[in-house]
Amino acid sequence: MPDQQNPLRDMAAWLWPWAVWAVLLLVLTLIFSQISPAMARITTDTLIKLVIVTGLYIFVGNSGILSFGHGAFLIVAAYASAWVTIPVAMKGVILPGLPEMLRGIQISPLGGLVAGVVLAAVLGLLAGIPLMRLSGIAASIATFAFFIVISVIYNNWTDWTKGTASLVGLPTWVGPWAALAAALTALLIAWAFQNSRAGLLLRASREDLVAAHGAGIRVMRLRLLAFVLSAAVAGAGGVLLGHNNGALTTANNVYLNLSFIVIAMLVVGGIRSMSGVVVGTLVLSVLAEIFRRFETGVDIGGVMLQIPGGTREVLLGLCMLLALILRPDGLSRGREMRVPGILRGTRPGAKTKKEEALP
Amino acid sequence: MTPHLQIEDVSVTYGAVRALNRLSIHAAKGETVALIGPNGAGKSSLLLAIAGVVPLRSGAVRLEGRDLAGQEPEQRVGLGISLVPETRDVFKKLSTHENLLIGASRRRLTRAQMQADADRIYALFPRLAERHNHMAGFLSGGEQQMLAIGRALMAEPGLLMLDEPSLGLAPVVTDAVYAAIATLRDQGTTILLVEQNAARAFSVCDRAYLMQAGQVIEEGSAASLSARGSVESVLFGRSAPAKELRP
Amino acid sequence: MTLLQMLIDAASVGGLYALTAIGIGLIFGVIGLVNFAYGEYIMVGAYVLLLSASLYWPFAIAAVLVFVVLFALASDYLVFRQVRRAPPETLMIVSFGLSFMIQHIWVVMFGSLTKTVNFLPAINRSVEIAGLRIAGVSLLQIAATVVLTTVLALFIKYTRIGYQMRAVSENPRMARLVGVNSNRVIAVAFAISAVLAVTVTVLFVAQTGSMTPFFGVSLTMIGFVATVIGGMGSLPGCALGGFLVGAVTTILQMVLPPHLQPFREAFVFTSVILMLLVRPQGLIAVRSAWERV
Repeated sequence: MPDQQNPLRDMAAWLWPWAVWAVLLLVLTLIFSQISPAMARITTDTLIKLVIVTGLYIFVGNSGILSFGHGAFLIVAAYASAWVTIPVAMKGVILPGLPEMLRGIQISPLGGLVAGVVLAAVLGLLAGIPLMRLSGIAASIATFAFFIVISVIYNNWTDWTKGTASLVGLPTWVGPWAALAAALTALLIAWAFQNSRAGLLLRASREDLVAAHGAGIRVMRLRLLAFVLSAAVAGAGGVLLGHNNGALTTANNVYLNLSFIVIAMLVVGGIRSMSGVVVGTLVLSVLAEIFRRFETGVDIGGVMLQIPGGTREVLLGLCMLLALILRPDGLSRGREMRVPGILRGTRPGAKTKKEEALP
Repeated sequence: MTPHLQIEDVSVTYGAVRALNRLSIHAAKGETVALIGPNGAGKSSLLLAIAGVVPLRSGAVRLEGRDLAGQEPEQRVGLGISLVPETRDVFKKLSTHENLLIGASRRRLTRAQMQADADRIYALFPRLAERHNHMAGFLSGGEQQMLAIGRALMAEPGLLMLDEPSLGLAPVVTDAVYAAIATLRDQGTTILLVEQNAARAFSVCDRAYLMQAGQVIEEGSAASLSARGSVESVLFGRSAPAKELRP
Repeated sequence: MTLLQMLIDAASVGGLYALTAIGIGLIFGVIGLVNFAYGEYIMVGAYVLLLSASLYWPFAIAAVLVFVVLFALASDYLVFRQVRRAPPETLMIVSFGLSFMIQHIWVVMFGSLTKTVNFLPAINRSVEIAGLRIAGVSLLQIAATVVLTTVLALFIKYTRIGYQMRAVSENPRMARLVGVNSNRVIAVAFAISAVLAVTVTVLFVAQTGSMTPFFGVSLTMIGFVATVIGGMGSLPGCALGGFLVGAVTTILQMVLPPHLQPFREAFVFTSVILMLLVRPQGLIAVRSAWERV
């Protein structure tokens, strides 16, 4: 039967892999946020991590370059939003060093989010211009160095950030639903980008840089675009983090640890697919929570099971190792959700060209 | 009499692509057998499968009757199988001499014994002696080919496999290479020779298999294959029907 | 502080970084693995020293050597061997996961608070040479770096395992096809990197006398950075990178005005970025299978 042009169906087919995850996340949020306030917190936390991992993925998944620097965007965006949303009266007390212009204003949470995202994107552009000229491990180290530079600056810029002390007073407007909305938006942006012309060209360059240059692909420009977009989304995650906690601090390598956990979630899930982002984040978050519960003690049929303090990290690390040993390209194997036959307008069971080409 | 090498019903796949399709060939001890066929016939895949680098989908590779399943590539070198790959793959950052020495990795030799063996290779390929101190990456194509063969010989293989030894070489250089192959044949080494250059292959081999699309199309001595004109069909695209394999 | 004094300080700090960088660079060179767990080889050795410090010092060091070498070999056998053919980012996260695990196992065993030990306090004494007062440890650090780097370079250049290592580094598949037992060669590389780690451990503990389960992390980071700046495929490059980072750190310590001192790390890492922009392949560029274009 000849295939008829059906734009609605094509749109549905295009959206399908995202939509499946969107529905799943919606359902999970619906269930878990109602169980208890503690569960709601965990749900929010996981969804915020999802935003951050997605932000990282937009760059890493498409360019193939591992960035250790995205923590910088979290920091910059979070503090930017803090500067413009903390109540004026509080700012006068806790951040007297802040310039008059910032101290005097207070805008809506959404404005704070926009401010954070914009600043992160600008930083992404400025840092990206030199950094995108590098490839491979040199690029990864450079992004790490970039993160350290930003981190040290914010750590010691006590007038503006209170240094390693906690900066409190951020309006806590982020709950499970705000986080869910952000997560779904982030995933949609990532999906749209990876399927856009820019995204596809960038992925092509990942496989063979020399060939891509030879084909006239402006790799540096595409990478920069991905980097800036990725910075913006990650920045949004940073803002959400701040407004979920109500406070910010750069002490104890918080952002460094977060950077590595986020990378681990991405790699364990599979760095080449959006599905990998969701799978990696959910699996590691769930495991982390389960192990945390076992540390405080879990009652199973009258028997109290408890693991010694500090072992949950050991178990989490062990799970990461096992996952990667068993599935070296990630749990998702770099693949997306399979679009069902009816949406593709073909006979059920028939493979599309793209699926045949997958390894 | 058990053949030295027996390939039984071997299939090799790369994902959805079937490189070898239930292939069976054999080689007797001391025989020189050629595998002729166009690109994509699966000849290289067969050598890689024998060497243990590529897994078998089905079938067995037997050396003197013994199934090699589970033997790692380095263990197969110990059993007497040496491969000179199509890409030669000399270790560019090692010197010529070191490339030879590393060929003997599987054997337990003293320094003196290794030197003696290397000297024998230098006698076979004098060009290499001149360049023994140079980094292998700076050798010409022909010299690298000789080095790759010499390196394989350092393992004292009972079965030597050569993948397109004449590829990209000038005729004069190819002469030298094939002279060496002839010498090895005369010394009693079993040789499995993959070639697109049928004429060259026929000049040294006892028997040849014609391969196409992962299967053996025909088999016979050089003379009989030439007479039948089968080589032209296989190499120049006139598709021959897949013949039934011998029982 | 004379210039010479500053140079010696820089060389001493750089020496420690250089040894770490070589330990990381060696493994990377042979199997393309960025071993984030390297700092943990240094850390666990420190705790063995904590437990064995009461022994006569050669025996204490021997205990550390035996333990850390076995530890490194176990990490290869149990973990890294399982992911030999995995993509580079997976290798990185595997080693990171291992590093994370080891740190927290040590937290469970020893607690996360700082532990102190008095080991070979004698080498901290200052020595007077040509009118300068130099800490004995600094001299030892420089000497250890020079000796070990030279021995390692000779080993790789002139021994059988040396050329096997170079072959595995260049073309692992072909190395197996000529009969090289690549697992054994890789194990030797791990053992050597463990020996280097033990050197760092002994010098570090003798100098600072303290440890936590997390102290290996910053050393790994610096070692990694030094390796990339210096040129990942070449061992002299790694050493050079280590000395460079040491030099920059020391110079900044001298030169930065007090109100900028807290930002010292930012300056160090900015210079790292600049160095990479100028020479992304590293100071001593070696074209290896892992870096393209």
